[in-house]
Amino acid sequence: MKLLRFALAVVLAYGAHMLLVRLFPSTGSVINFPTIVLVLFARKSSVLGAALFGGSLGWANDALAGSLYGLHGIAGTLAGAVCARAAQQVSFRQPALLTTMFAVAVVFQEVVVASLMRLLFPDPPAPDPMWALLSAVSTALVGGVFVLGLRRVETRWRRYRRVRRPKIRFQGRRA
Amino acid sequence: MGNRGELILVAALLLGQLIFLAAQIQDPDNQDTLLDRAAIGLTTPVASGIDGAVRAGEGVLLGLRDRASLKRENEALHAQIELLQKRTAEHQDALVELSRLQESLGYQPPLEQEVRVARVVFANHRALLRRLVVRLLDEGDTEFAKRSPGSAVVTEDGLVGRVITWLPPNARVQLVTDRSSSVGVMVARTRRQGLLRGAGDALLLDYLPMQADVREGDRIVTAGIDGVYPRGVTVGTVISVRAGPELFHEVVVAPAVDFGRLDQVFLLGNEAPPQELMDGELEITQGPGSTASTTDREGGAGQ
Repeated sequence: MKLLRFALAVVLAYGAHMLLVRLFPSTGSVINFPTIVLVLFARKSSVLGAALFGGSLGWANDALAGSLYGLHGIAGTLAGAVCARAAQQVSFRQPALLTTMFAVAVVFQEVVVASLMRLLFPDPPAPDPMWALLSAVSTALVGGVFVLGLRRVETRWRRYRRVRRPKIRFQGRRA
Repeated sequence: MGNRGELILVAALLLGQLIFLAAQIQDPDNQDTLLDRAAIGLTTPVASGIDGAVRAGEGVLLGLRDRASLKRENEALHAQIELLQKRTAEHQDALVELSRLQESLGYQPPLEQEVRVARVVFANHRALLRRLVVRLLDEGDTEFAKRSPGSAVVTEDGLVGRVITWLPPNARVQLVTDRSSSVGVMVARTRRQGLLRGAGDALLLDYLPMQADVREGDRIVTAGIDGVYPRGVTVGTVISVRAGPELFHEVVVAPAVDFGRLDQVFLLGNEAPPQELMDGELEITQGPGSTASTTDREGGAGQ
């Protein structure tokens, strides 16, 4: 069930990415939706599970963008493992902490990708710190708003279920 | 599983990916790999479905918002169609005249180029490798991929790139701005040829000697010398010319196409010259009954 939800979240994340890129071609990819999915799933998973989630998100990115396979895979694997480990140490119930985690995950992945390129390529393209910062802030904001919205929906649903009267009938009479 | 076991597995996962990544860098020329085909086959249907949904949503929104302006635009387009029909009739007369003249002069016009329309399905303009995934509008046309394996990709503005992997009806396109892309080009004003290579967002024109006349604002077009791109397609405009460290200019070219706004592209059929001819190994006929390969001739010349 978790895998199915993850697959659905990945499709939604890339759908949102494609919609934004279509609407705002030059700035649309500033919000890193896959990282939001990664953090949300990694915080409730084991280190290995989160690494696998991160790795598959990275590979999806590499496969779609025609990039070198494993470049974002490694970044995603590391980011997932670190997120899960951090979630085991600190509780991410507070929205502010979770929002910070979105931003940190974006920057962390950018740093890993830049380091790998420096390690593997003789003349790597220079990383763009401004873009990374902008991406971290916007992803954190969108992720934060999404988590708050999700919590509100969950709270309402729980309240509705609590106050809902059970409709059990015994021999045609309402209990 | 304990924490230690998990960490070992994560480390193994990372190491495996790192080795795989390093293996790909060892062989950068091999772009059309089985893995790449599998990746296109797995991801493109999903991406195409999402793209279709996004387009449908856009269409509905646009229809609701721009209904009045669409009506006006429709009327204007009808008027334009009438005008163009008149012009087409004039052009047809001119074509008849032209073919009559060609016949009288014995001129053989070049073959018409095959063109296919494709939709951009996925693009990530911040990725390390500048590539796109496109999908042919005519999804049943698988023969085109066989005929044109390295098809050139253009828009009405100019050159976009070339197909590097086909999985009909999908294809992965390498943009001209990709760091591993190079195009044989010439300065349109002077016909001076050079090699244009991708540099991320801009293009660099190499091997243009210091004595060559090149200026800011010069239009750069394909030279048709690389066996991939047809001659005369606009690639970009020169935005800066500086003296390089050696005997060549350092020329920066801005692409003619805004890659961020790509929606539909045209794939050109390419009748590439035989590979043997490109490698210099094709047998040439010297006269009736006698043949010799170009490599033989090179050997003979050396003797």
